[in-house]
Amino acid sequence: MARRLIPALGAALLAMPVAATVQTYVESNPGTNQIALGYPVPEPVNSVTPVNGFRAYGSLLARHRDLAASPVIREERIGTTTEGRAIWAYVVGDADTRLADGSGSEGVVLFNGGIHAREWASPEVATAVLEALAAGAEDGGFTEFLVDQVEITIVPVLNVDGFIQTQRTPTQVLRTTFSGDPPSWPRDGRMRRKNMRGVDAELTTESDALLGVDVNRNSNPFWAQSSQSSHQTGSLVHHGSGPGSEPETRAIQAAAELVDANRLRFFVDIHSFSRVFFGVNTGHARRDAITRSLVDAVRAATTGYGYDPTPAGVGIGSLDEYFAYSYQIPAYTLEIEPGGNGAADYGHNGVTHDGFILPESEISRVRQELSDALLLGAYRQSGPPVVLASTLQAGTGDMVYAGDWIPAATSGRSETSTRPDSLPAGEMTLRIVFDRPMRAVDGGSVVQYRGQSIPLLPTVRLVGLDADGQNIEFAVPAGMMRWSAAAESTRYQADTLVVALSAAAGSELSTAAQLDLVVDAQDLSGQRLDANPATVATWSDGAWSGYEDADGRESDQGGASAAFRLVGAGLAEPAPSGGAVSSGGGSGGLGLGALLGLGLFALALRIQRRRRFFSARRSGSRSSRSA
Amino acid sequence: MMSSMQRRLNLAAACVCLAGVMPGAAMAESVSAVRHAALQERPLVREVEASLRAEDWASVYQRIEATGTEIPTNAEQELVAYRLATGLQAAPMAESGRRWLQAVAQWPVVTTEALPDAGHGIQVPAFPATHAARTALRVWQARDDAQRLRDAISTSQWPGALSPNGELLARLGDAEFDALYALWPSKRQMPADWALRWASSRPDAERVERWLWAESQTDTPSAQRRQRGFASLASAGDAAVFDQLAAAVRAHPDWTPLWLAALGELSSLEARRELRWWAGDPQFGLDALQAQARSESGREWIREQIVARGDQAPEQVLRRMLIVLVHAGEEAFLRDWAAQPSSPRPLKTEVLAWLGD
Repeated sequence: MARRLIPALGAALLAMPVAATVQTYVESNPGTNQIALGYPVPEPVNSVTPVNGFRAYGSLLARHRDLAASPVIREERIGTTTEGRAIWAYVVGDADTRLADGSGSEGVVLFNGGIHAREWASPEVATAVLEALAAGAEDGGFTEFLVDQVEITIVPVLNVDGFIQTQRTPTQVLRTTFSGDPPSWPRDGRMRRKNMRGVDAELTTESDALLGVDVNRNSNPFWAQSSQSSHQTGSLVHHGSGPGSEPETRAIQAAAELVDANRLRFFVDIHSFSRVFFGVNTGHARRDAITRSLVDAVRAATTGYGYDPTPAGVGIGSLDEYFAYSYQIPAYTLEIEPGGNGAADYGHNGVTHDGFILPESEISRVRQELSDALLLGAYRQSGPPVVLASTLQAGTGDMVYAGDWIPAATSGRSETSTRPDSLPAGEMTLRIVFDRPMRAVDGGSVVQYRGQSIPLLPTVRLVGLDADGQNIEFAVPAGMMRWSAAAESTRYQADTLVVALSAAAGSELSTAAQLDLVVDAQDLSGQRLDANPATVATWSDGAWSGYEDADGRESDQGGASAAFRLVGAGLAEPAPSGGAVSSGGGSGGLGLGALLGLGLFALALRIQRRRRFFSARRSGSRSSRSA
Repeated sequence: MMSSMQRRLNLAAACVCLAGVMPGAAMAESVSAVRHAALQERPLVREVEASLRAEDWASVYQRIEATGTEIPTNAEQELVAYRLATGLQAAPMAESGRRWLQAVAQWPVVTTEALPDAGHGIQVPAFPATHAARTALRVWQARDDAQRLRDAISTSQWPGALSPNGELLARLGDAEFDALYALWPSKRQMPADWALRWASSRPDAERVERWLWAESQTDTPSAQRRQRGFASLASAGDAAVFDQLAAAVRAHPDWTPLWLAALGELSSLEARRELRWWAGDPQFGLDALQAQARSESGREWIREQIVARGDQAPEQVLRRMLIVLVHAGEEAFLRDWAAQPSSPRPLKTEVLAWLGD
C-alpha cells in the first residue's frame, strides 16, 4: 500500500500519545488487554453478495462495479484519497434527465456512506440502496419509478483509506491517552474515525495513531466555528487545515456536481450510531418545514429513529450543514442503530463504543429497513404526485371521455380532452392516471409502504351542475374504487385508480350539463397532489415551485385536484376554490350528510346537492386559470 | 513507522500552527481527562482498586455491602460501582454478590460522555456500571453452567435448562465439550456455534447435518461462522461431507457466497472444481471468481479463460473476470488485454479507468 510521509500539521504536545496499548475485542472470557463484547466480533468477509456480516472493502467495490454493468447505473471517479486510492460514486437513473412524461426535469438525490471509518454499517446501507435500485430497475413499480424519475447518486465509501485501516485490524484498537478524551476511549485500528492524513498503516506506530482529519468537520459554512471541532491534530474531531482541505470533502462536493447540482433536492450522510436523524435548520422557513415533514415520512419507515435538528446559524463543519446551506435542500445525518446504549440494545454487554460494532446478526435487517426508508425519501423528493390523465368508458366499450395533461412546448403541461355534452346511462369505468405508483404492491395486493399509514384509497368526487343549473356533488364510495393491477396500469403498478360507476337512465348524472372530476389523493409517502398539473412542480430556492393547493395557491402541501371536466364546455378548473375540494386528502371527511337515492348512481354514488352560489364561484375562478 | 525526523517535522509544524489558535477549544477538551484523572485519585476508588488487585475478596464483598444498591448520585460512586462489578467477574460467587449485581444491572447510567459523532454528540456511558454488572452476571451464569455440565458428564445426565451461549462455550475444554454431544437432548435445538464445534471436532454426516440444521434455524445468523464452518468441514478430506455441504448450499442460496469464500481458502481439486462450476452463475458468479482469484492457480485459470475464451464468454462473465483481476493486482495482464484490438472497447475503457488511467 502506498505510504506517504506527509508532515502532520499540528501534532500538538497536548495531543501526543503516551503509553498506548493495543487491545483486542473478543466475544467472551477476556484476558489481559481484551475487551469482551458478549457477541462474536465481526470481521470483514470476502463476500460480494450481501450476507449476515460486513463485507471487506474489496468485495464491496467488486459488488458496486458488478452492479454498474446495469444500463441505469454508471460509475464515476470523484476523487483520490491521501493514500492514492480512487473514491467512487454511482449514479442511478435512466438515460434522460426529464420526467417520464417529458414535462420537467428530474430531481437529484445524494446519499453518502463511510465518511467515518469505524461505522461499518454505513457502507453496507449505502450499498443496499444501490442493490435495491439495481434489482428493481424493471419492477414495474416503486423502484422503476425512481430510476425513471429521479437521479440518485450514491457514494458508498467516502473515507476509503480509513475504512480499509479499520478492516486491516478489525478486532484491535489502540487505547491511548489523548488529553481531550476520557481514558476509556479506544482509538485507531477498528475505532479509527478520521481519514489517514499523516498516518501510516501500522497500528503500533504510536506517534501517528491519533492523527487524521475528521472529514465531517471539514466543511463550510461552519468550519472551525465550534468547540465540537478542534484544531488539535490528535483530536477525534480535528477539522483539518481549512474548509475542504481533505480530498474526501472535495470528492463528496464533486459527487453533487456529477449530474446537475441545481437539481439537488435531498442529501443524507449515513453514520452510526444512536438511531436518529440529525437535521439542519437553515432559517428558511419553508425549507425547514419540508425538512421536518420529509424526515417524518422517512422515520416512519424505521424502527423508532428520532429527529434532532440543529438550530439555524450554528454548526460544526459537517456535511449535512454544507448541503443544507449551500443548496437549501433537506439534508440529514442518519445515525444507524443501535441507540445510545450501544450493543446493550441487543442484550449484549454494552462496553463503551460497541455501538460502532453492530452484531453480524443485525445487519441484514438494518440494510433492508434503511434502504427502504432512504428510497422512500427519494420518492418523496421526486416531487409531489400529479394526475396526468383520465378516461371514462361506457360498458359498451365506447370511450365517453378522454383527457390528458401533456407536456407543453416550452414548459409545463396543457390539457387535451374529448368530452361529451352529457353522459350516457348505464355502467361505466372511470380511470384516473397518476404520474407514479401511488401505493406499494406486494404479491398483487395493495399494501402500505414500510411504516406508512396512508389511506389506501383516495377521495374522489364528481362535482358539477345539472340540467337546471343546480349544483350536484357525488362522492364515490370506497367500495367502487381500486388501484390498478399490473396488467391494467398505465406506466407503473398502482398508478391508476379504477372507479366503477353506474347511472340509471334519466338520472341526474346522465343529464348533468357540467361535471368535474375532483381527486384528493396522497402518494405512498403521504404527499398530497399537486392540484394544478399545468405547472410542473420543481425544487427552487429551498421549497417547491409550481406545487399548488386546492385553491390554486403555491404551497408545499398540495391539495385536491380538479384537473378534468368530464362533461360540459370549457376546460376544467385545475384548482377550483371553495370548500368543495379543499378537504383533507383521502380522509373522506366531506360532511356528506344527505344521500339522495333517486335511483341515480344506485349502489355506486352518494349524492349531495349544493345549490347556492356554486355557479358564481365556478365562473369567478375560471378567469384565473393558467395552463 | 514514522521516522524520528518526521516526528520532529510534525512537532515543529504543530508549534507554528498552534501559536495563538483557539486556546478555548484546547481547554474545553482537556476538562474531561482532568476530571477522569482526579476521580481515579479519590481514596475510595484507590481502596477498591487495591482490593481487586490483591484479590482480597472479603474486602471487596465488604465494600459491596457498604456501597448498597442505591443509585449513585455522582461519578465517583458510579466509578466505584463499575470497578466492583468488573472485579466480581473473577470473584467467588456469593448470593449477596449476585443480588447486588442484579440491582446494579437495573441502574440508569449516571455519568456519560458526549461522543462527538456526526457532529452532534452521542451520549455514551463513561463508567457503565450497569453494563459491567450485566457482564458479570453473564460470566457467573456461564461459570455456574460450566460446572453443571461437568457434573452432567460425570453422571451422564443432561443438566436441564442452561444458557448455551458463547460465554459458556469458551469455558469448556475440547474433551468435556465432546462428551456433551452424546448427552444433548435430541429434541433440543442446538446453538449453531455449538453444533459447528461438534461437527468440526468430528466431521461425520450426522454432526454436519445437525450443524446445517442449526444454521437454518438460528436467530443469530453469522457470515463469519458459516464461512468458518464451511472451510473447516470442506477441508476435512471427506468427499461425502464435501458433497453434503455442496448440496446444502444449493438448497440455501443465502449461504452460497460464504461457501464460495470458504472454498477460496482451500487448494483441493474438488474446491477448485466447485468454484469453476459457480463461475458462470448470474447471481453468485462474481463471488466464485473472487474466491478463485485469491490463489495464483485460480488467477491463472481466469487469465486463461480470458485469453482462450474471452470472445465467446457472456459479457457479464468476462466483465466479472476483469473486475477480480483488477482487484487482484493483475495490472500487466490487463494492460496487455486492453491493448488487443479484439478486446471489446467499452470493457477496455472500464478496465483502464479501474486501473487509474
